[in-house]
Amino acid sequence: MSHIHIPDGILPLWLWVLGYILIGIFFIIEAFYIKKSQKQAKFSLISIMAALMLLTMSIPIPFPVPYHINLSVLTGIILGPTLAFFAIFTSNLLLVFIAHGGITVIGLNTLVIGIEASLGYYAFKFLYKKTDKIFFSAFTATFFALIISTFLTIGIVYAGTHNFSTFSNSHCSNKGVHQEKLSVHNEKHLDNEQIEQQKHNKTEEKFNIKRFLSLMFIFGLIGWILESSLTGFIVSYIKRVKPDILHKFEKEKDIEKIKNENS
Amino acid sequence: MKIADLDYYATFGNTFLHKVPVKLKLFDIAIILISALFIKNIYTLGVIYAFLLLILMFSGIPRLKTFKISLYPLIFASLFLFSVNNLTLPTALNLIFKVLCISTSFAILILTTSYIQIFKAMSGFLPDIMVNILFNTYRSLFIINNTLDNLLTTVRLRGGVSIFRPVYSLKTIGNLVGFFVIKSIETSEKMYEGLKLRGYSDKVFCSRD
Repeated sequence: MSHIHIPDGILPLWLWVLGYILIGIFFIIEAFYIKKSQKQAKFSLISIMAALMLLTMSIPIPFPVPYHINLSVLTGIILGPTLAFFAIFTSNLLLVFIAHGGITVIGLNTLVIGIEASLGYYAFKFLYKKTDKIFFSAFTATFFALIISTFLTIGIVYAGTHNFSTFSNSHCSNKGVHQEKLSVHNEKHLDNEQIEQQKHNKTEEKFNIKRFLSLMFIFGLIGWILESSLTGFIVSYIKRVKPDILHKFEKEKDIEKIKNENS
Repeated sequence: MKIADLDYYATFGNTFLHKVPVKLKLFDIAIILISALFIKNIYTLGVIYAFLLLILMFSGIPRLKTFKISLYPLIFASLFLFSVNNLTLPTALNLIFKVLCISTSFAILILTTSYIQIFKAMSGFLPDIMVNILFNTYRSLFIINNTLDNLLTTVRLRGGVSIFRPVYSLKTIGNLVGFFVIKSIETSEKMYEGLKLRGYSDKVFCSRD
């Protein structure tokens, strides 16, 4: 799960409030749809999937870096692209209540992971219909969804932190010295002013998106492979033991087969 | 610490914090959250954190465990701090205090208040559908947790997973989780049937204090 691994207090107010507003609007529309289509029976399945996401995080993964699986794409595959958002929101909320942090970013987190689950669902549906290879479809769909959601995360973090100087009172370790020098040179030496400005820029605290991106990709790549492989194995197992759970995809695949035969 | 352990401390604990009304605790959390979000002075943040540590010290809840839980978000904070050019100590401390204030307050809340009470307080402003899902998820956690524990014991008894056999280990975990998913979905169906038989009308009413 590509959480927005950013603690509270870093992202600006407008950004995380926007996250809550967007997810709120989505839930209002979806709640109306659930009532209209009498899908209340799905509540227990949503709850179970949220509980599954939380509990499977405690399964130890044999890898030197502590990593946990989260099953967001699997949740999307089982619940569908819209209901998965409810399970994801619930698991995010409960994670906050076990001091995981990030109460302000729940909305944004739910959006990112929900999009990950939806993309995973559609990618799996498409690939399974076309290739009929269950492990390949689940692996590729998960990998693709994780890459997209990581980029979304980076985009959100960049939008919120490119103006990092608003975060702290002390943006620059030598701010006073630079400002003093700047004012002295201001009148006579325009070139020197530029040099001082450059010096100031060099020591100014700035969020380095490239470094953040590389950190996310180093840890992310390992995580993507682990998560994708595991989702592949899980979906393959479900297909072998209880194919009913994946019946909606089987139906689509059969229709595609019949179409191909007819053509 | 597992959710079951947290719930045990929250439900059966008998400290003065357990007796504080939930709404008051949530109000305090909101004040700490707003303070941590908007205060930029590290000394003020440090004082708030010290105050929270004092509460932790004298509250009677498991100190070390709570402290350990509260340190978890620092992993994510460090990821962010590594990405800042020319990082100064005040900025780093500012961020660390913000993170610790929020996580410590939530850790104290969750060890002194049961989830049921928190959800009940939240039902005032959350829509029915979310309250419904939250209560059901909480219930499901305990129902399927035993299945997972048994499965993990079985895997360990049969050789477990090892870093030296990555593909085999991943396949084993995949099969384990696959089985767990199937069992859980069956449980959810039974749970829903059981609830319907007992008059469940897609709405949760909280009466327990």
